[in-house]
Amino acid sequence: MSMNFNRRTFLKAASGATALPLLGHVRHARAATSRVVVVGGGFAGATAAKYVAQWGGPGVSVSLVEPDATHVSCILSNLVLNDRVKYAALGFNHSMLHQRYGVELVRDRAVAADPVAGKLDLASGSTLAFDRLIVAPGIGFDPVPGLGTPALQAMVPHAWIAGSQTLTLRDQLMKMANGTTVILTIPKAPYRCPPGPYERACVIADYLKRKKPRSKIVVLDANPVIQAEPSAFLNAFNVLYAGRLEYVPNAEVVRVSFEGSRRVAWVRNGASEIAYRCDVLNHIPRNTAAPLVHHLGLANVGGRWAGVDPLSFESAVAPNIHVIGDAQGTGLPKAGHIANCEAKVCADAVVRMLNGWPIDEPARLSSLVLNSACYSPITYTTASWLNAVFAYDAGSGLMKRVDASFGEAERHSTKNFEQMFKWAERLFDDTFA
Amino acid sequence: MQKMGKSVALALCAWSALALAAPEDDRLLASQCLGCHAADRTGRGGFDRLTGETAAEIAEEMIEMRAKSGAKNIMHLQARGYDDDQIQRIAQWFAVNAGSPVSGRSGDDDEDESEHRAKAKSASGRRVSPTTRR
Ligand SMILES: Cc1cc2nc3c(=O)[nH]c(=O)nc-3n(C[C@H](O)[C@H](O)[C@H](O)COP(=O)(O)OP(=O)(O)OC[C@H]3O[C@@H](n4cnc5c(N)ncnc54)[C@H](O)[C@@H]3O)c2cc1C
Repeated sequence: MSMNFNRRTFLKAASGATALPLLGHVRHARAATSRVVVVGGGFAGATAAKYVAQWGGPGVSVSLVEPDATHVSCILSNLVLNDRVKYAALGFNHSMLHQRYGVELVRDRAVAADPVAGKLDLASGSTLAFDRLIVAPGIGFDPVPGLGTPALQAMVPHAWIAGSQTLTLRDQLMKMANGTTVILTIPKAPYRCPPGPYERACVIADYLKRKKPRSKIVVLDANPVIQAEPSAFLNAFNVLYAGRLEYVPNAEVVRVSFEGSRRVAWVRNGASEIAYRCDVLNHIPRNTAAPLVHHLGLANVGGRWAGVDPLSFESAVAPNIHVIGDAQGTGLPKAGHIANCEAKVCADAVVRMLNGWPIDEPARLSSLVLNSACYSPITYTTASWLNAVFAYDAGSGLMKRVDASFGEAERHSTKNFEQMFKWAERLFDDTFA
Repeated sequence: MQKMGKSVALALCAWSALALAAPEDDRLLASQCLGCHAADRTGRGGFDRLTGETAAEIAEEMIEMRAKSGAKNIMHLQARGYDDDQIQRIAQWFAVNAGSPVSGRSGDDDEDESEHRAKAKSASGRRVSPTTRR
């Protein structure tokens, strides 16, 4: 869809839209003097667009560049695999950001940017002018030897960006015969959602236990230990799913091959490799910032993630460009809840910077508190959770975990399972509405 | 316990006069609560609605939760991420800026389904809930 089409739709809808009372900050873009462009309409980008538009006032216009009409939430997407949540319930469009806050929606893909000239190039050939650019495109993956073509990649879904691969993996699990084996691989940290793969292991093991009781799941973890909620997951692996789930630490998959309908995951073992054979392979390749971040030359942290100033999420290498969400490399966990928090810190900084106000006054520094909450399903009816608060630490100049706030649920429970939906529904609303 | 909480809250009110933070600072600090709590008429989902409460009530609740040990409730851990001054600033912000509650009372963890659904209707997406058990 062309930019002009969106502009026209925007103007038409904005004139007829009615304001809703959201903390008294509702506004519609008019007589713009500063332009903020946000790339990516996921947890980080959608939140940033909403809050820059609310806090920027009439002097700031906001455009959101996102190629997909519907963003599919990764959060809760493991529950699509066992049919506990309907896939359609996890799709969010951005129309509310447009109607309520006047965000201009641009259905396009960002391909290049010039931070000094303030120009963003889009795949359609159009350009957008910006004073500040917020880049929130999520993650990409290292290439996997043996999975060089899209057809092969579709046979071995990661389902780590929710979307068609989520459904592919679900269908493979539903179709597999009782008695066959699933392998789930976990990439080296840092990757998107620290508890996510272990949670997926539990969801799949629970599904097998109920529907394919002679089948088993092998979890090949490239890391030496469970990366999050160790007590919940150790208990699940060793007790709830004993005999059904095999957990292998220090198992880094280096390539994938096929033997008829079977898949082989090859694990590094010194100078040689060990073959793990299965019928369904859910290989999550090593994560890196989304391709756009690499194209823009922003991935200066280990060649994988975008280094940023934690006060503003402004890139360490390019002025006027901010990077938030999973693509940034501050060391904050790569998770949707905290991506929403990062977006608010960034939105606040962008508005201040456009106004020429400082971002490092003590009262602002003491307002940099970010929250992270993850709910992890353990069985079909129970869940656990992980909590952490991060705050700006003047000594190190970093966002630091407040240790007293860090912990996991005492036990998995049906109450946590219910609260998981309250929590997610609210996060979805704060992000997309 | 109740009495002690009140006196703490009163003391905090007195401190708030000393707070130097600008409205934008408080707004940023408080906005992070909206990931889990609605604070207006249209917001959906989440835990206790931050509407219809005085600053003293909000601060008192957070301080009580912060003092709880263990990990029974996720909010007990969240509260431990904040110092007294931050709690007071958050409480003031919501007491002044949050919309009035839909039902005439502040929501709570046990709010009934129909009320919840009524609130949900006004917003964009569909309600996300698990499929029935099979
Ligand atoms: C199974 C699973 C479970 C999870 N559970 C939790 C949980 O319980 N709690 C939690 O906090 N987190 C959870 N997460 C993590 C969470 O989903 C991510 O951290 C979050 O989505 C990151 O947000 P983001 O905005 O950086 O990226 P995304 O949400 O992936 O959004 C990126 C967007 O950018 C768009 N985009 C990409 N490139 C371009 C481009 N060039 N131009 C324009 N647009 C572009 C994409 O289309 C996409 O819409 C989970 C993840 C998974 C996989």
